[in-house]
Amino acid sequence: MDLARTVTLKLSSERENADLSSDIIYQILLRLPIEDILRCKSVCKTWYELTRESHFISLQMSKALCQPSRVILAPWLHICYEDYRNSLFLIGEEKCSEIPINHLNLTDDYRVRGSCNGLLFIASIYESNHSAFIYNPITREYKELPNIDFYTVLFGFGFDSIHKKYKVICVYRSYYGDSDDYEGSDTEAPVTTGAIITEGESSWRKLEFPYQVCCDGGSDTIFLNGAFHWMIDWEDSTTGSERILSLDVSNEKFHTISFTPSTELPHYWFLINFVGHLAFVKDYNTLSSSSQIWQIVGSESNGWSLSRYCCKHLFEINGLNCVFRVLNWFSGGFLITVDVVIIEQQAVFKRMNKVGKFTQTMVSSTYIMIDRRRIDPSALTCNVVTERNVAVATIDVNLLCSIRDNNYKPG
Amino acid sequence: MKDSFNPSIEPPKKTVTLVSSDGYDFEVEEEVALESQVIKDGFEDKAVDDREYLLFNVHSDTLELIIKYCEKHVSSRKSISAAAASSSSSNGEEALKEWDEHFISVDTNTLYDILMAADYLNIKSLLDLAIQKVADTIHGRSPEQIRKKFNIENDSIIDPWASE
Repeated sequence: MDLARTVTLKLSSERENADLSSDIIYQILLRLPIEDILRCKSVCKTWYELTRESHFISLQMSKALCQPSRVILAPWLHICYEDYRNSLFLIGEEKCSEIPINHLNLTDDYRVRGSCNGLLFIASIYESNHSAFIYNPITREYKELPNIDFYTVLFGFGFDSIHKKYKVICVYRSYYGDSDDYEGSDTEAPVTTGAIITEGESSWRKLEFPYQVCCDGGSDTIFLNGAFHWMIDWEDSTTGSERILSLDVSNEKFHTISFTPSTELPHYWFLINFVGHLAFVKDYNTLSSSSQIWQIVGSESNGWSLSRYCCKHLFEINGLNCVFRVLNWFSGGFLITVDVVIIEQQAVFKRMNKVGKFTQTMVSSTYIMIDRRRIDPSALTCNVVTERNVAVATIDVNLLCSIRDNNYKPG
Repeated sequence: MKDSFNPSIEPPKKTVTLVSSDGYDFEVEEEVALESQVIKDGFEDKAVDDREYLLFNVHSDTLELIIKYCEKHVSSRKSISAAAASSSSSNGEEALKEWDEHFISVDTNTLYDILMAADYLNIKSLLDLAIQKVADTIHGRSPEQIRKKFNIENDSIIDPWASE
């Protein structure tokens, strides 16, 4: 008999009481969204323990890589100051779950400044000496980082997969000669400087940047493939061919991405995470009849080039139920992606003035532009935006369950 | 001699015998039995007259269903590839999907048995079908409902999610 497989099938006298092998339970759980997995953890001890095993976590992680993200919003502040709310929101199938963060006692200047593997990095938008946190929205555990006492313009939050540690980088601009006086340095060009920290370290380490990076509104740190990426400020750049600066999270070494002089680059662009690839988005403040996304393709050895996608704008999407993810935001609105069918079509789409349908078949995503001035605060089911508040994080909820323990109860 | 009128008469099909845990014999065509990866592995090494499998963990009720599933899939595959060869349009895959959906719409105990048997016999498509069905059943349910549905004892050490 060849049937003596290693599967442990315990059969009791009553057939329906046979135990499922852990492998089968894994496979069942892996087909469920995060909310279900969280509920399953409290079904019984066996299921609870299975979800904590590293094998399950790595399966969950790799599954999440090819899954769309959902958004967690942090509307810390309503227009009405008495209605002070310190909450994150998880956008679900039919509703939003609120994830309380009251125990962190954050003041209203705190925002979600980055997310990675289901963890959030939360820091203040102000210059003053302030604390910062790495927060697990599932377990509500947090780690406090040493205070940040420099005026950070860009934050980056990433995972060092070699040493299995999270790192945070603050990018700020200092001036030669008088580093204390931010105002009185008209004559000198600012110098991009970084301060980096690995979770568990007691202080920020200074990191000299070999290039100036773009810090103006809309610019962001993009964490992809184990590295932080920034756009090099090309007005400051002397050689002219380097366009992107990367910092390897593990060895903290800088690299650049250059394009051949013949490569036609867009004029006003931001760097975004474009479904797992670096890409430029061109001038999305003024959406006309179509907009473009320039995906960066290639490798260090074979050279880099741009692959251009055109996004056609449609004016309505009927009957679409979607999940969306913020790619980037700027002073006038967000660029978000609609990845799959999840959210009920509510007021959301009616209020959107521009919609970009992505025509490439390799990614079945729709890109949507929201004009912040035109949408109702309640339009995105949970007070997406208020006048003063654009704290937005992208988060892959499929990863949420993979982080340690679960004591999370929705509010 | 009815058969002699059929010019394309095939040689008698080779069969294997599957024996359920409660002792019933099921004689099935070889290709149907070979849907099970476990039977397929090492099948060639077995003597032709010794093709009998004792399925200690599969009750006859379940085995009947499993055989029904395998027979359907073997025959559907044939008609689909025949349709493809003659390039005639066919909605065979669609129809098979529908059939699967209907097949797996069973009570929880039966679903459980099918799942266990599909795992034991390593029939991948059936295992996928059953796993997806269980996942669909769990989806959106509270821990208490899941426990009830699957007859799981509550030994939970953590507080259940407040059901919304």
